[in-house]
Amino acid sequence: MKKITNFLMKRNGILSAVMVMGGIFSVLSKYGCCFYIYHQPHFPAALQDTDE
Amino acid sequence: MEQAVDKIMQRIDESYTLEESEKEVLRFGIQAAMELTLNLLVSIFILYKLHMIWEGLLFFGIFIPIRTLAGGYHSDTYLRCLLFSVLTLTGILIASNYIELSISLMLAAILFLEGAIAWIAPVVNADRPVSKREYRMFKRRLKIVLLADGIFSICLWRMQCGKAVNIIALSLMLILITLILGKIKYKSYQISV
Repeated sequence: MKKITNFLMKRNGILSAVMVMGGIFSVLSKYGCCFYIYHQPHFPAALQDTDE
Repeated sequence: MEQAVDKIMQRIDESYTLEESEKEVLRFGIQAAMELTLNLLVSIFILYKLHMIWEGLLFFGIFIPIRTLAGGYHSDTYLRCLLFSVLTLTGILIASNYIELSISLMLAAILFLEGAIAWIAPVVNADRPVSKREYRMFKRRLKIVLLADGIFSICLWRMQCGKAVNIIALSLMLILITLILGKIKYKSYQISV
């Protein structure tokens, strides 16, 4: 995993694609209670809904 | 997985100027994307090896929308999550071949399980705080998904597709078990509306 990550990170196009993908998944996370897999990364405070 | 995300974030930090909150959001999104992608690739590999592609797609078609809206149990590490995913996917697909109960009984089980899920869910977890407004929204959407699944199951029952009905019943059973486990694990995080 580390070797693959190092290899991919040397390419700027891939880095941009990873950033776009991260942004899309952050937005998608707002549409449900969790992701369907059995692990939930810590939800960022900036995305939390403050409306009671 | 976290080490790989750290490495990516380090590289992003060197190339772009981002605020702390932006980095936090991006880190979350990248970690989620990597975890989901790896789970999906492993699942596709299992489906291919078991020669059960359409059965697997049916399982995911039922499981993903409900699980996303209903929440439930989550493991503390990604490795345990991957292991749990692999075992449940394989178990459900294999078990669907051996269930020989009547298709009408399985339909009744589906309708009962849907009622139980609609009653218990959503189950909020510690890492995904949910406001009351979101809670109500998820519950409403979940009921729509369950209604659609119920109608779909009735159509399959009419067409006598026994194996498909078995897979739906087992998927709903898995969701209900994870909801109960989640309810116990995250007892103090639950919202009452």
